[in-house]
Amino acid sequence: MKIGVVRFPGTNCDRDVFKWLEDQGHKPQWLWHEDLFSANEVEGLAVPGGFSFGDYLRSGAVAARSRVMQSVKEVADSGKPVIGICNGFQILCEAGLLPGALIPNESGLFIDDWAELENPSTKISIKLPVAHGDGRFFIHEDERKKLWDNNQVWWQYKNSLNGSIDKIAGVTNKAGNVKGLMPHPERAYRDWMGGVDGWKFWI
Amino acid sequence: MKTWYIRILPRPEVLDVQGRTVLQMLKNHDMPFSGVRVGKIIELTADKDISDSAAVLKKAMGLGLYNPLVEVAVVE
Amino acid sequence: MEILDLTAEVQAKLKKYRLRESEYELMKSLLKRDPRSIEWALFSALWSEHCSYKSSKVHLKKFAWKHPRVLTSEGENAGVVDLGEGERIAFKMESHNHPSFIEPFHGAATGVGGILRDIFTMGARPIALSDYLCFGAPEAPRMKMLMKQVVKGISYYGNCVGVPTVSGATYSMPEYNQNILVNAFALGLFEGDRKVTVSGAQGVGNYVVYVGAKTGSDGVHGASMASEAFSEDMESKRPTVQIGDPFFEKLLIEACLEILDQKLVVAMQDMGAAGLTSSSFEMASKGQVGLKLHLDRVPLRDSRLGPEEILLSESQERMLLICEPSKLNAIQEIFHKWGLESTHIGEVVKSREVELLWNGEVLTKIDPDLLVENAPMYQRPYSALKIKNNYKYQDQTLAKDSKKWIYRQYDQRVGLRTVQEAGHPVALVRLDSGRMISIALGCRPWLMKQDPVVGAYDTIFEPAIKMVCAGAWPVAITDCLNFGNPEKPEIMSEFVASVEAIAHSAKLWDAPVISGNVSFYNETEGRSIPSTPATGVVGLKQKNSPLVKDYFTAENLNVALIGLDEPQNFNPEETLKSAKSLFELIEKGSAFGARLVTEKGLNHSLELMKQANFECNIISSGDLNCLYQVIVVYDPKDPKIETEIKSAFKNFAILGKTQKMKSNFDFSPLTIQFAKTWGVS
Repeated sequence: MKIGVVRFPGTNCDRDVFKWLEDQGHKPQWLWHEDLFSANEVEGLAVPGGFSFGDYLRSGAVAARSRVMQSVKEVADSGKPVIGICNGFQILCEAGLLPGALIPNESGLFIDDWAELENPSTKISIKLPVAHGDGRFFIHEDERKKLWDNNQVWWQYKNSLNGSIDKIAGVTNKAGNVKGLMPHPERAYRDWMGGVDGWKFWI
Repeated sequence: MKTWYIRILPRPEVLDVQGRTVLQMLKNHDMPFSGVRVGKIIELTADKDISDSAAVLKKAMGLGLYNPLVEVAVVE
Repeated sequence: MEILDLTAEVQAKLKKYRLRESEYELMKSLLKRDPRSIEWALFSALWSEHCSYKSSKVHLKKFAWKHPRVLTSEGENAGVVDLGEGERIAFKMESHNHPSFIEPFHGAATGVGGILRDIFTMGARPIALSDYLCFGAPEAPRMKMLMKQVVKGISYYGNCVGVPTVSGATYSMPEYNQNILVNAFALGLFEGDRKVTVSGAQGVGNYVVYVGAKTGSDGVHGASMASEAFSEDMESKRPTVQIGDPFFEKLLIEACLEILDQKLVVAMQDMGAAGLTSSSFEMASKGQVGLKLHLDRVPLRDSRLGPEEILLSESQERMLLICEPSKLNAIQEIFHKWGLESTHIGEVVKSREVELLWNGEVLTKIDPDLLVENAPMYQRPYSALKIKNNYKYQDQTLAKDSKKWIYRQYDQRVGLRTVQEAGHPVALVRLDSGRMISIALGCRPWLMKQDPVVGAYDTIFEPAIKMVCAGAWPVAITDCLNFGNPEKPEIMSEFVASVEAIAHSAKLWDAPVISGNVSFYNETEGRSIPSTPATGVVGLKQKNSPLVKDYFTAENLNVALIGLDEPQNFNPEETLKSAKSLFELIEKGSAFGARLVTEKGLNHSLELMKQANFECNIISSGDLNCLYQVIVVYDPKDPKIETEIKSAFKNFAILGKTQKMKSNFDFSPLTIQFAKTWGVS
């Protein structure tokens, strides 16, 4: 599939995500933050992790107001698959394309580790690496109920990692086509990486 | 109950990396600002008023609420 | 009367610019006149110990070695090694001790930023970071805060800039209570056929271009401060703290690599210690050309800065480059895209002088060699040291803790090259060919204190043997030599002995020293740190080299202990021979696992090998009293293997057999120990 990979100044998992998609047989394409593009040009979108704009003010806050987000919204509205990984997840939340917000980890420290995750609907268990300082998922009580009612909780940490409400590691939008998660599937798709649960993880 | 606010900003001569990025972002959206500094506000509350609050607050600030090497703090 | 006034004025200048009277006399003789005001600033910066290496240069020549694998070494920013198969790497290590003691978060962060720039200014994309840290005792004043903030600073900068911090070494001894050490190591890879960038300016008429962040008053007089010992009035002498912005650095990396890929650059140098001064003068001196610089064209963050401050500013994330005039537009377009400044500030000129102008007025016209090549070189007195051989091979008083609290704050996997991360004895980083780079840092201060010569050999031998255990062999070395006051003969003696031991080790292991850094004056009120010549050893693991683990991976495997040296009788040549035998054993596939026993003792190492929930059922205590003891795990089913091991290693002892553990390995006592000691959770 032709997947657009969005890049902001400071995005540093862009080449990783590009390679992950390419190695799985997809056709990734670079999308620069200052350029609009037509939703027809892509069959899906990936927003990689990193520190877009240094994560200054709040993680993903400045990136979410970039020009390219207009086109990203169009793709999201069209129903095509969109994934936000780590900083990408933060950006999609700040842009209002995903519910909730990501705030500093409970420990106040950056955490790099392997995390056991569970999909609450399918009950599938996987292991993916995490590396984030602002990974604590937060949402208001009324919105939280809706999240569960609409099956929007995509992944949960098996053990509390960063203080996320309901140990939420990833969510989807109501339509289910836009997905976001803090762990990095692109960092676990070859044996020598320490795990392969990232292979064919998304599409 | 009594409340005090300590406003903390980067020292003017020290590089404010957040301010620099936010200013550029605002300029990109054609905003007419020429400077941005990003800091924080610390809110301190006590059950009742503190006599000699100025000295007490000074002591509190000396406990590391701000880093005098790179920040300035003003009690409001 | 007049003479007294002049002397008072000169005395004041010597104090302000941290120069000696003898250096002032040398300045006068080189200039053939009295130095003008701005020239004082230039000499102050470039003749500081940090920039000129005046106390060490004479001895660092002992590292020189025209090795076929080394593309560039002494004189360039970082050393470059050709690994064959079209793969080239660059790496270096640098200190940021003094600033980190004053402001640990920003000091450590800018230390990481600085070393990264040395790598990508050569044209290599940084792919791995590592840090060598020495803290004082946790109970010492400020020490817990210093540790937390240094780690936070490294985490902040490394994670944001997108380079994984895959390894490190951390020590804590009371001797560092008033002088902590923060040494940062970085390694980069040349992608595709990108050429190695030179730093010597070339081509009369070519433009001098300033790129990166605007200049502020950061760290003015910082280089001369780094060359000075701390005294009681430390609080008052602080220049503006240098603030690093990893986001800006990331932009700089992408912009610089892009202009290099498009072959738009003739030469490039980063602005590090002594900022614009060191970069411009060094580029001119190396290229044997002159430069004309308009200081008023330098982009400023603070418009109040004058020419002297501009010259000395240590604002971060800035580079100086030389390009052909026709390439300027293309360069500016790329930098504009990445949101960075790029300004044409001068030209390469025919006369062999650097001319500094301020709004058309010539401030000085000076031969760059006077400052760079003719910096004083001191032959500090020392005496030759010998191996004492009364060292203890382990230090059981060292806390048996885990540094996980530290490295859990470092992104390990960004870049998709990390095969073995922090927490293991060596880090393994994958190259596109499938081969792997191994990285380990050396220098054990507790051993240096006992026997500086053995300790200095150990700075190479320990990391090298660790990587042999992983099936990698060293290819090159970098160093960061942290010492006290070189004017004291006993310290200078340890310095010379260290340099010689490292140079000898490099020859033995066939791993040349390709880059390095010297940090002197790590002392406070006359009390010096133990001599700490830290090293960064980089090795190569071939594609078909067997995967050897540093922990137990299955049950019913034999576990034995081998010694690579003679107890209390260290012989570098003999130990190297044993290491070669160990490497051959591992390359043959005869070992499932291998791990060098650390100074914390055999039991501690055996404990750490339980991480996959297998343990060694110990049948004999085994300690061989050697400095280098390796736990080897091998297949009992092939009796030839044990025979092979026994014949290769005189010092051999069976430890036992592996078995499955009844319950999962509990790592928490080690992390709790660290948490208790340092007051963290």
